[in-house]
Amino acid sequence: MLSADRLSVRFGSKTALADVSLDVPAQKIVSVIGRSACGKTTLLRAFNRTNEMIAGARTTGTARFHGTDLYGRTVDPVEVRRRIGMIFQRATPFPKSVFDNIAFGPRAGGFAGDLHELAEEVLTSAGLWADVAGDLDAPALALSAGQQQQLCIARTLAVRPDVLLMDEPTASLDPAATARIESLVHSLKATYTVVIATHDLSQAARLSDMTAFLDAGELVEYSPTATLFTNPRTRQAEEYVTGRTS
Amino acid sequence: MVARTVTRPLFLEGTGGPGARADRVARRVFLACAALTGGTAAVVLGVLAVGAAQFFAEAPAGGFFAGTTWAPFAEEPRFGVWPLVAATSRITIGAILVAAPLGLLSAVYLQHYAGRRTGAVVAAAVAALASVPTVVFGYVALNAATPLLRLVWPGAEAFNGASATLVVGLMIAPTVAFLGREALAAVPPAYFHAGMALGASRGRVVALVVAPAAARGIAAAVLLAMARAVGETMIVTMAAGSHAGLAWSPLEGVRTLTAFVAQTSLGDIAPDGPDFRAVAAVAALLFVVTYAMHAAGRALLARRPAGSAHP
Amino acid sequence: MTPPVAERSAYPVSPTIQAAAKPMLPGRRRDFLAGASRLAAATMLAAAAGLAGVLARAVWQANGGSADGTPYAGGAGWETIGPAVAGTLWLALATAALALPIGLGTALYLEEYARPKRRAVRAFQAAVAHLAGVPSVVYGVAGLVVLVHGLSAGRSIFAGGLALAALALPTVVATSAEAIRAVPDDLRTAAYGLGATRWQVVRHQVLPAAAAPIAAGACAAITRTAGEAAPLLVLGATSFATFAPAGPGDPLVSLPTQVFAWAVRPQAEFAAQAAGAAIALLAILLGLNVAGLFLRRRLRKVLP
Ligand SMILES: Nc1ncnc2c1ncn2[C@@H]1O[C@H](COP(=O)(O)OP(=O)(O)OP(=O)(O)O)[C@@H](O)[C@H]1O
Ligand SMILES: [Mg+2]
Repeated sequence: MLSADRLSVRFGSKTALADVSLDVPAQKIVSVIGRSACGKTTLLRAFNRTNEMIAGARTTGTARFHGTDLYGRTVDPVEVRRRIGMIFQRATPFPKSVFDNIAFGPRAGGFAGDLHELAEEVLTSAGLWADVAGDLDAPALALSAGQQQQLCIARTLAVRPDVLLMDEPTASLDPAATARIESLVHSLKATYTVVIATHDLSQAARLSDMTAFLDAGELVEYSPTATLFTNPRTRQAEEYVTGRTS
Repeated sequence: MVARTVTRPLFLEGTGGPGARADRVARRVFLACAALTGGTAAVVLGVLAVGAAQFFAEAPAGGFFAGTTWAPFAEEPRFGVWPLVAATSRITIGAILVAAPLGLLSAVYLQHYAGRRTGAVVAAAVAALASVPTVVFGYVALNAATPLLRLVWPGAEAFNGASATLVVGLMIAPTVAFLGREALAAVPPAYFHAGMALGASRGRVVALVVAPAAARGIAAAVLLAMARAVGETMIVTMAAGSHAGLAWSPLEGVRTLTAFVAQTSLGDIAPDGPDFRAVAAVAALLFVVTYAMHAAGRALLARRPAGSAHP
Repeated sequence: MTPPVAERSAYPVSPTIQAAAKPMLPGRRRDFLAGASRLAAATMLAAAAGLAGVLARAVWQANGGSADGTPYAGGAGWETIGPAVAGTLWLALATAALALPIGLGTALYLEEYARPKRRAVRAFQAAVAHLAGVPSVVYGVAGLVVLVHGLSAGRSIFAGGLALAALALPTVVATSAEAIRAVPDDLRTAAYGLGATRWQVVRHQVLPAAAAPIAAGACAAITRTAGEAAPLLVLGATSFATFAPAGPGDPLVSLPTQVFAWAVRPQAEFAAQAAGAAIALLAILLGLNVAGLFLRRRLRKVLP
């Protein structure tokens, strides 16, 4: 459903992603693993066309969604982002109320339904409802770092995308919140397709159906998760998942 | 969870999603604004360029830049801009000699010596001086500075370079103080603490450690203030007189580039007459000089001071 | 009294330590910058106070307070400066109405719509920014040709308002662009990531975050141009206005040009009128500044 074909991203003269080709099957969870700066964020951002906001960024190759080239000349990047939602590595709540954070995306997309109902639904999904139900008008920046990340997940869900790109969504969460998010991701599988970048190998193993291992911008191995963690085809992947470094 | 189909119809193509229309309208409106701004700049430049070109078609450029007599409307017109340039230079240099020590020392006071209360009062006074229109400074030059000057030197003319210079200095001092303080504030506090920890007096640390680290910003402050002095019109028009000679005594009247433009245009000048061409040539010279000074000052400011915490 | 180190110690003590053990010098060391910088600060205070004093004294004398007790004919009264006050308010309104939206729109186009890294955009931006350093009298010359003669707008409030707006425009563009640039990119990325259009990002994220500094810069530009005399003099402001301008087509009259016209006349009563007009001008500028301050406060509260 979502696929990359020889997708490359360069920032100036630096290649962040080199000729990556992979297929994300519908209603599956794909995790992306690899060392820092290997290009995980860049790959996710390429699917949601947010790399192009970085000055000097150039994307080549194709990324397809239901067969449509996301970088086609006639494609509206705004629509791409409404269909393929992204949760960024660094939680960035808007400096507004919790409610306004949730309402921003749906309003931008012309949502005509009841925003309060929607807010309750997505905040519940993100495991934040109990914490903020009393005061949706509280400033989002007053939340803890973990709660802010949950809010960012909720506000992306509120746009109702088909695909969720999650960039290290649990990096700043406590174990309980992490467990909540993981079970959320698991339940999302029924309706969404999820791509999750993570440094937590056990999380990748627990959650995902497929795992992609990136190294220095290149896709080294893309296998079913069980295969990659128990019987990887490549030596680099084996070294990475077993914790040995070359 | 609300049941939803994964295979919604695709409408990725085209730009028809919600909000797309408003976005296109906004883009056009903002582009129109940018075009208007560019157009305004082009018109200002164009008028000066055309006027100056006509001027130089009649008067040789050599006579303009090297001549020492400025008498554009005499029977035998002479177009030597040198007396105007000399007057502007003298008033600018004199003014910065007043404003640089006054402004920079005030900046040092505000940044490194002032207590909270007195600092707020002095900062307010500097801000107040900065917001006084130059025509009001011109009034002060004429009605306070010149009478005081003539108490000391009875020989001073009613319109003279000295009181205009002094008041222009006062007018640009707040600019030096404000930009100078910004430059001092941009120096990492660690420099100051390290200097103080060595047991030096505050004055030594500020003069030998902080000020050199802020040199670029201080130079920019002085340069930008000088650009303002070059372009200053009202004080010199009102207090310095309209005598376009090469006066050497500061007690005599002088005429600057700006004063020539203002005083000549006061009369009704037609855009196709010789007086307009002379005004346009002088205005074009002013434009080039101040533009360059402003650009140089901003370029100095744009570069961060050495060792600054933010790259 | 603590005994010197040498007496308490059983060991021989080096001369440096003995020196350190000497009692601390009382008071502060001499600091040459302390006196000089205080003097400069005092001069600034004196200059501000002196300026206010000069104006106040002239008006006070004119209105009957002079030593010989005879009030000057036609002191700095409202009937003489009223038309100029109205003119200056009209001009400030025209400047605000033209320069603010166009300047802000230009800054938004340059920073949010055009690719700011592009050379041409950077060059355009720099060219406009340095126009802010060009003397106001030069704008008067251009205005005279284009507005008074070219558009046959005459020596009207309309022509003056356009010239002042052109003068304020580069400053408004530069300060707005700086405010917009200070908005963190993360905010934009997050908003775009949620499928917002550029205008939605600008309207709901960028503008609220940059509103206060944009308002501050705009307010400074308006008050600065409202006090300008030189371009209006060049355009040919009238110095004998007998009625207050009621619209853009009326003759160009303003407080700054009136201060000039009265101040350069040799008679003392005109000097007093000039001082009165100067005080009225300062009061208007103060009012504009205070209004700007309140606007900024409000913006900060309404748009967090
Ligand atoms: N905005 C940018 N400008 C220039 N280079 C960038 C930018 N963002 C990323 N890069 C470069 O692209 C490469 C890939 O970065 P990316 O952020 O995709 O890595 P990552 O795998 O997400 O790392 P991490 O695990 O630390 O988040 C890095 O070498 C980085 O330096
Ligand atoms: Mg990353």
